[in-house]
Amino acid sequence: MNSTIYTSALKNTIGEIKNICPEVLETFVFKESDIIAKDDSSSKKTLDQAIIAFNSIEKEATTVSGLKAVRIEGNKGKINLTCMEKFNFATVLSNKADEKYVNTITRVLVPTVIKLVDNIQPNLPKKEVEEKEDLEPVVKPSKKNVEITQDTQNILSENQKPIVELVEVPASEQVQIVEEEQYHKIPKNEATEETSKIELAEDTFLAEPPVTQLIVEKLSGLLVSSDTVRIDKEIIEKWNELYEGKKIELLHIENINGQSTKSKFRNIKSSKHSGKGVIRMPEKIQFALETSKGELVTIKPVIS
Amino acid sequence: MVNKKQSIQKTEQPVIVENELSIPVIEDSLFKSLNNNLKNLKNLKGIMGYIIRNAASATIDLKQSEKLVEYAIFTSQVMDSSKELAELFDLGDLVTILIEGEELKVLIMIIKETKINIFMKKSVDHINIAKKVSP
Repeated sequence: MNSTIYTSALKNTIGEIKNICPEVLETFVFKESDIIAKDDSSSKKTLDQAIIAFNSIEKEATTVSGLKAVRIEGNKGKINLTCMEKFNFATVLSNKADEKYVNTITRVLVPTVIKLVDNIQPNLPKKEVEEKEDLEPVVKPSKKNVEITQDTQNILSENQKPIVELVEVPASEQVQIVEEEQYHKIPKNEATEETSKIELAEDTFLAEPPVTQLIVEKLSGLLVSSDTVRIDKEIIEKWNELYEGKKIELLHIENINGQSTKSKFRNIKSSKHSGKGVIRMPEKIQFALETSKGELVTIKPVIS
Repeated sequence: MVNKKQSIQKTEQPVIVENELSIPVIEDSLFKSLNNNLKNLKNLKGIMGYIIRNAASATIDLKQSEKLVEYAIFTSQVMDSSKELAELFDLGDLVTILIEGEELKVLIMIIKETKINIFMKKSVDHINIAKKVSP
């Protein structure tokens, strides 16, 4: 688990703990073999070895029904490890440290920060979290995406290869884009040491509108409203979930040439078109966008 | 549960021995004193048993004797890893190690050459236990 937001939040927490308790010599947070956060004075090599040692204890800890905490005291100092739900938190103390005081701070502060980070990322599904943790900006095709790509290939002529793979970018990834860009500039081994800024203002966490690519399908009929497109119900539900309490009445449509327009939208009722990654579009809007059946467009919600 | 008590001569690792087997051991006074303290503790509520050993002797008294090998492997691993951590972070000579699990905890005390492993329920006050064991 190597999410930069946890890293940043925990690194700041570690810094504060050291400020409050100067007797805390080293502090680090890890999960399995990954260092999530550490203070600047700690060397990665030492911590890697320490993590291996802790993991060896944890491996055998079925004897005590799962490890919760380790305290190792020497005549010069001591080390405390607390196993939390998501991370393991270790502090190295000098013998002068008031252990009760340090424990009170660390065992309250660190879980609170982790909980806070969890709460400000409520829409980040577990799978996506894991993808983000790897800090690899590669979008893995889901089953649905694969189906959509196959459909695209069927719709397009044999000689015409799809220009873009249809990948639905989750809103949560949009939130993280700034951090991903930052990651590109950081060598992988230093990624955990870098701090990214966390804006705690509520507005920062209003996810950017997720962009979805769809194939244009013609929508016609006597009762069809000429200013309304039809899209999959799942997309609308996702938007509603993401922007709970916000009004979404329009969507923004953009063709591959960058021409765009806004339109009302409704969900696709016909099972024939549902779940196929298509946008059913009246001719009037197709004309305005200079697009036609089989072409790709991107859509995103307009948040009011 | 049947209480089992064994005394083994010149063993560094705990070894399973037959019930009620008692081998005369050369015990130094520290070992004897600590062993007596542990005997007084074993009937306290929540104490599941102990292993005490030095270079020459070892005494094992566990309420769940079938757990002996498991406990021995675990404490041996904890000792190795703790030594490594003590070196890495310059903690000096190991004095005590406490491992807390979901249900149990293990207190390891290193007093000179003698190593004591006390297995107890999580609710037991290990600080009090350590005080009672210390010579």
